[in-house]
Amino acid sequence: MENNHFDHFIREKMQDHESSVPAGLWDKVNPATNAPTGKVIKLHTLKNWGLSAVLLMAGLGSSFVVADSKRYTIGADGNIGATGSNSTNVTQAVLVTETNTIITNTSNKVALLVKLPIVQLNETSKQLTISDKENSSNSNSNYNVFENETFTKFKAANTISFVRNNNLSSYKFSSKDYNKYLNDLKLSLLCPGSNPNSDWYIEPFAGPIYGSKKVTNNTATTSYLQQKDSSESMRIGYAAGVNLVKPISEHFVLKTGVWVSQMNERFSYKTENEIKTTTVVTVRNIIRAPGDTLKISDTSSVQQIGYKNTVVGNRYKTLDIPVIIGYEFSKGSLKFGINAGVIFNMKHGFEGAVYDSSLTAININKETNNVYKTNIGLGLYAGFRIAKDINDKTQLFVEPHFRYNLSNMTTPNTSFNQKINVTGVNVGLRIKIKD
Amino acid sequence: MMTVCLRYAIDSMEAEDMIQDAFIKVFKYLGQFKFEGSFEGWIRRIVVNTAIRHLERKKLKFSEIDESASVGPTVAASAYTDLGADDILKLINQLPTGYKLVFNLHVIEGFNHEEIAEMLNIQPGTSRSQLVKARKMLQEQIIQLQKIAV
Repeated sequence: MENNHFDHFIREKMQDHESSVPAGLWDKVNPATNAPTGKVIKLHTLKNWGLSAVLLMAGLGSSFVVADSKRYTIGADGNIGATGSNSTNVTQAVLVTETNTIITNTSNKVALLVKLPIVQLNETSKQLTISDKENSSNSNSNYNVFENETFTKFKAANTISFVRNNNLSSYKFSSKDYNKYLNDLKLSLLCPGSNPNSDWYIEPFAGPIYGSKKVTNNTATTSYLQQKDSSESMRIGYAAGVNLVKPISEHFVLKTGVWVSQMNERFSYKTENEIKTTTVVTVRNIIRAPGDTLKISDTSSVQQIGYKNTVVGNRYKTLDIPVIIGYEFSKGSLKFGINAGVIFNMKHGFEGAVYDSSLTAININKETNNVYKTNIGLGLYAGFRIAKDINDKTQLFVEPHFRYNLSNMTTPNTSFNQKINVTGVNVGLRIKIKD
Repeated sequence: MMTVCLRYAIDSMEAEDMIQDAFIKVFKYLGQFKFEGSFEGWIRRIVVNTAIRHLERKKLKFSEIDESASVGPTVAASAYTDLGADDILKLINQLPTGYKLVFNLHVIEGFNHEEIAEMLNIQPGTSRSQLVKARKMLQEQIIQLQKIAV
């Protein structure tokens, strides 16, 4: 047998072959059985989402019907096309198999969603209206969907279905409308992983930061500011923290967490008239006769007067709680996000040295600090996030960011005002902690 | 789609896992369907990719089995015309994983060797040789079936 012949035979036999789907399989995909019954999505939230009742599919993927009693009226805008061909193609055949499984394994309500094309859910009367618009002679059927189950459970049920009825292929959407419907549907479909609103993530991260310092005069002399400026230079510091991330819509996320950071500064100063004293002890032994030795010790000191250079590492430490909103989108295999928000400083500390008013360097620690505030107030945050999936539950991300502090970090009594704005790059992981 | 999974999986349990994962992905990425091809094709591609990922997790091996015969056996057309799809499915399932994967992707899904090589991270030559061996093994199995039937 020629290979082509053989391949053709196998392909012919296998391409349209259907195998029965094991009973209960769809229930595993359908999250309704896992949906927590204690957490009911509030109706006002649902109003914002819009009501997505049914995604019905027929034909070769170009014919979607979505019915929504609030926003969309299928067919009313004249988008009903000619009645579709009755020929059952491969797509329908395969998908119908899945649909039948739904009918077998889920409640009658879902089965009805599949069988009848138009489903309208009235939030006021809490009634599900199912009607066959293709055949207007059929009477509409009303079902109270809220009697025994919550709206959440209803939404979690198979509101997405594939259609057996070839008539449904006559309903056509423009692709623009389709995308709009689909975006709303994605919010209401509670298939595993499909609804971002049920997900929670944590983001541990760390990265280098660099502070750019802005100093203005308060009561200090010009020479003081010049001396301070020449003595201090910022060094690389670090930031670390963990965020709790909650998606609030398809593209938007809300973040909060705990951040710590340490900005480093090199403070070098020169002290004049430094006296260095060296003591010299000279010992001499004089042997006047055997057994008669005289031991003479002379002590002298040498004083050296000059300059002394001292370098101190100043550390500015912060403990912050951010509230950040992010807009995220995907492009190819990468995910991008634009984050912005406010940072509430919880604690600020300084350790190191500063000049006092007489230009003498004094050491400052937590107890003696009266130059810098212990809370620097609000800051504004902006960042651009680039992420890549490592696996189903984890993303690796890099986020260059900028923090602008609104208020000075110095106390009002200090002779100068100082503010440090921070630029940095965070590297971290986003880990899904709850579906 | 279940058949697709059964063709790649070792057993029905694994096929069930595959189709479950695949349909979760279908729902998850429904919004990314661009109407640029058939919806079935899109789902099928997801199912196939999911199946491949499943197999990769088990450290997919492209084994070299029975190199003795370089030319495949001759199978009379009458030997296979009576074979049903279920029989063929069983025969395909008896192939070593690497053979089965390449055979499925090339003969049934219609991918060429370059595409298969990219999907499986192998050389196109490896794909070709796996296909030849898979085809040969299948044909031998059909001959065995023919002998048993006689």
